[in-house]
Amino acid sequence: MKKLEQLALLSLLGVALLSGDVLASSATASGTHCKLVYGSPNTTYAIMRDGIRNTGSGGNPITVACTIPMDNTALASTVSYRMRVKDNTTAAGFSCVPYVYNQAGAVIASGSSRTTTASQTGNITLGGTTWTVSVPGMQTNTNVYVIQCSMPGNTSIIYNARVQNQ
Amino acid sequence: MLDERQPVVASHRGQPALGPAIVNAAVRAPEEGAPAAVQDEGEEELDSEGAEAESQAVRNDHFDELSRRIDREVVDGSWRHATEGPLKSLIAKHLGSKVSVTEATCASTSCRVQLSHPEWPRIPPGWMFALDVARASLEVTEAEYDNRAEGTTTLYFKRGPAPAHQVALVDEE
Repeated sequence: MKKLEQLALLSLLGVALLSGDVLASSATASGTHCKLVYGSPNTTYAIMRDGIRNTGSGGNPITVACTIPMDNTALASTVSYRMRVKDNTTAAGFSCVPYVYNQAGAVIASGSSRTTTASQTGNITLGGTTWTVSVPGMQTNTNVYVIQCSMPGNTSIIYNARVQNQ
Repeated sequence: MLDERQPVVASHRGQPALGPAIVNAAVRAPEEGAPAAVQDEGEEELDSEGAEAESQAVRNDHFDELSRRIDREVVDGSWRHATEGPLKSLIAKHLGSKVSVTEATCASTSCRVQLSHPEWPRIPPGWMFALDVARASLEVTEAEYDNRAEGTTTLYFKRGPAPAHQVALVDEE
């Protein structure tokens, strides 16, 4: 009888691990969290319910930083990023780089860039398990995870940004 | 009812270009002379100075070992040739005259690049972005920043394939 109980408990545990998001540490932030860090004098952008949009002309990119709120979460020493975007112009593409800052605001690590070609349009997921950053030092809950992007115009959108343990 | 076409925040038209900015005001150090923040009873501190010092010590050990490893590694001559010079050129091009390269060494798995920027204790956040986009042309991927000393930064670039454009995950609407 005891073995049966143990088996049932193990099965329940297995189901729990396999259902839903099995990653213990991750965070997703809406594109509405993105902030403009650089734009030309003609820059126009809008924060809407589905994210941030560059409402300027297609060939007039803006640079934004998307900080991902972590809510007291310490991630592992290697994290991966992804970002959901809409490239709505053939005049330019997205170029995005992930960063990790320490609590004093100093960059401690960055990843390689992920880009879309100018001719590419539509909804695109940038990154994934291979878009990684190794974070030196102790993994503290005060690290700040950011994706900085140059985003094209013509109402191209950043929907959300995600960081998770690899 | 809210009209989704109406932006919640007004546009930026007509304003001068913004410089690089610290991306999260919550992590800024308090300004000199500013009163210390009042701590609510039971509120968790952002982090204790002790924990940050401990983390910095771990980072220092890590970077010391990384540096020794680069000095010990057998050099891949063709990768060094294709990476060291172009990396220095890209840094000169994208970080400007106030940042100089004092040393660049690529071995076989990593590059170590020492930067001098006497006008700033740290390279301003955001300044690396153009370089980070441009270095996609080289066979390097992630970078780690040893900024324990003010006025200098040592960057460690990990060897890896140049990132491909994101073409595989396109959805059709």
